[in-house]
Amino acid sequence: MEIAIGVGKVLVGKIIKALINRVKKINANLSEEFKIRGRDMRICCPDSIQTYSVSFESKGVPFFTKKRKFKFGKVRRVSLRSVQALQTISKAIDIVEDGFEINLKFLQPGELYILDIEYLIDDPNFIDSLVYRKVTRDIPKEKKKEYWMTAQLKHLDVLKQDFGFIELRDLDLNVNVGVHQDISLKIPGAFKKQLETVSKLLKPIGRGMTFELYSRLLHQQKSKFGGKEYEILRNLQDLFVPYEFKRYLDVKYDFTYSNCFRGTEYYDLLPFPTWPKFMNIISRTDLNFDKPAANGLLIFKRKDFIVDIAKIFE
Amino acid sequence: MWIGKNMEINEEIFIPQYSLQGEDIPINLTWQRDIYLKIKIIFPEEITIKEIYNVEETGVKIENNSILILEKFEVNGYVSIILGTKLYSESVVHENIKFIFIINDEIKSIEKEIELFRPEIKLIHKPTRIEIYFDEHNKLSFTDKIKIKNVGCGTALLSLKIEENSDLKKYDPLGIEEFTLKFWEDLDKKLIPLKKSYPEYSDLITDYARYGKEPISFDPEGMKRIKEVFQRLTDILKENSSFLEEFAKAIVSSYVKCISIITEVESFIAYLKSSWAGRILLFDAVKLFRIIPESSNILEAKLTRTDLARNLYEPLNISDLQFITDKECCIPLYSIFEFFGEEEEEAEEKEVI
Repeated sequence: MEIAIGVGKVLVGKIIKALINRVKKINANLSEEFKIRGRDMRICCPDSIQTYSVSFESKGVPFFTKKRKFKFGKVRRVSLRSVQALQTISKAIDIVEDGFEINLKFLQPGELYILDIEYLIDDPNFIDSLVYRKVTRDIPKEKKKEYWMTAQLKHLDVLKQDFGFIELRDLDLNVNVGVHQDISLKIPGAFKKQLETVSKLLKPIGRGMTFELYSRLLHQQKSKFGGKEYEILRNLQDLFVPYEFKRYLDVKYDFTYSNCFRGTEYYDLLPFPTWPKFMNIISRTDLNFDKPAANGLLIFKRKDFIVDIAKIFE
Repeated sequence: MWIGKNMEINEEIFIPQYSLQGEDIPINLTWQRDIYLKIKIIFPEEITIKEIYNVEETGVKIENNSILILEKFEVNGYVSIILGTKLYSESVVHENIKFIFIINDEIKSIEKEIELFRPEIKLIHKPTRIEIYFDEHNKLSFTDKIKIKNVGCGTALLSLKIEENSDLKKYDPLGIEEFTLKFWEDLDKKLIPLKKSYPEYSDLITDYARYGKEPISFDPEGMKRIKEVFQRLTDILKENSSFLEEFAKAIVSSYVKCISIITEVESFIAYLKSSWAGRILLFDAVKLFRIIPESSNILEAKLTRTDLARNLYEPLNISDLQFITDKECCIPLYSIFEFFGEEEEEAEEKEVI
């Protein structure tokens, strides 16, 4: 039996080392003018962003320079806050091509500040090399619509640094919840037949056939769905709007609901993406050194969904 | 919680209760970080250990291909394991995995069960001849149908692959055919500048466009193509957000431009006809066969199938099936089938509504 042990650790270690080196350079630069009080580093998923926060205060003497330059790579976002005033001092930060600069004239000696810096982690495989994510692709019984999800760190020791632990935030997991069976089996047969007649009438057909189809449609129009075809279809479509569909979802244990949208798998796009066979549900979780694995459950409240489909046809 | 020699280990084991056969199964174990122990995992022969994380290489031992012994954890208190499963001959099996925690001479054992399932499509009835009749309102009726049942668990994806020697070929109904043609024609044009901007993805873009135009089939070749195109596409879209934006823009604008060709009603009918009892998804469900009087009208086809884990199954033969009519007609692909699910599920469906 071929077992892969600790695969990807070299890659992850290399990337984290590069992230830490950058942080060390920031600290060394800051230390020339300030006393560093606290540090924290997070990796924000799914965009793979390194967020470094450092709190510092001036050494109580006038600053040596007017500007401190931190040219250690392109930044995504930088913000500086005064802890006392709880205000962001946007004037103090200049983003430049290969980093950022702090304009010291906007800082007061003796005051405590927090600097938050965001860098994009270039390697697209970084998160997948660090965390194993898995959800169930299908469920055994239609009546029990519970989808399990798990995110488990592959490498734990790499998160331990001299300033503390690197955290992983908002790690996303996607579950495909099947809805096709509920829609197709719950639509009343009379409505299906009515739609088929309407559809045939929209196509070029012979005169005799048109008469027959109109007669059939006139007969069908006497049913309670008569003349309401488009309204019913609109109402059905509304069920798949994220705001509506989330009512049928319950995310449990270590995960929280984030968003949902119409499925994007190959079997969902054909023939038309307008009517989803699956809804794609995104749930999120955080992982860190003390919580290396997150396990959860996504429950699709199918009975509620079915009841709401039935209400459309009442 | 287990207390051994005045120590609380606070162990937690995650193993899913169910999974599709052929899929990987994740397991994670945590226990109190200051307690050093050895873990023995006894698993069935059908299951393989694929990956282990947070254990030193010298701390992993396998005995008799079915016992995994772990010690020397890189950070104590946690281990992550990925198991591999295969397709079983039965559509539902229950496997037991035993976890034994060992501290010196004390042991605690916990057994967990996992249900491994898959759909199982059975061809219950395959007629050799289907006669088509028309009633006074010109409605079609059939003397017989191909009967298909999903006797397993899970969703089955089916696609009818027409053989070259078949008299009957499938084609798109009016409206949908026009939409499909115009959509891919328009998208083709929009993808040309994208190929120029991203020459490194040019082959993939061409493959994607080809995928949309060709009929889908769940045979090894077809599945390999789907897997390759969609996997590569997913990887690239993940790593290149500007390409993702431009690619999505091209698809959406072609879709919006052509959607007026087909009506919402037609697209909804196509949707309904693709989903059947027994969690069966039928591809190309609204495609048509043209049946001509006094013609042999023999259908030679293979019903290719897969599941949501993209497992491959042997195709079912739908060969030498003759259609008889005295009036030329077009019959939709779905209409020659009758699908069944498990009775208990169907009964439950009725009860809910």
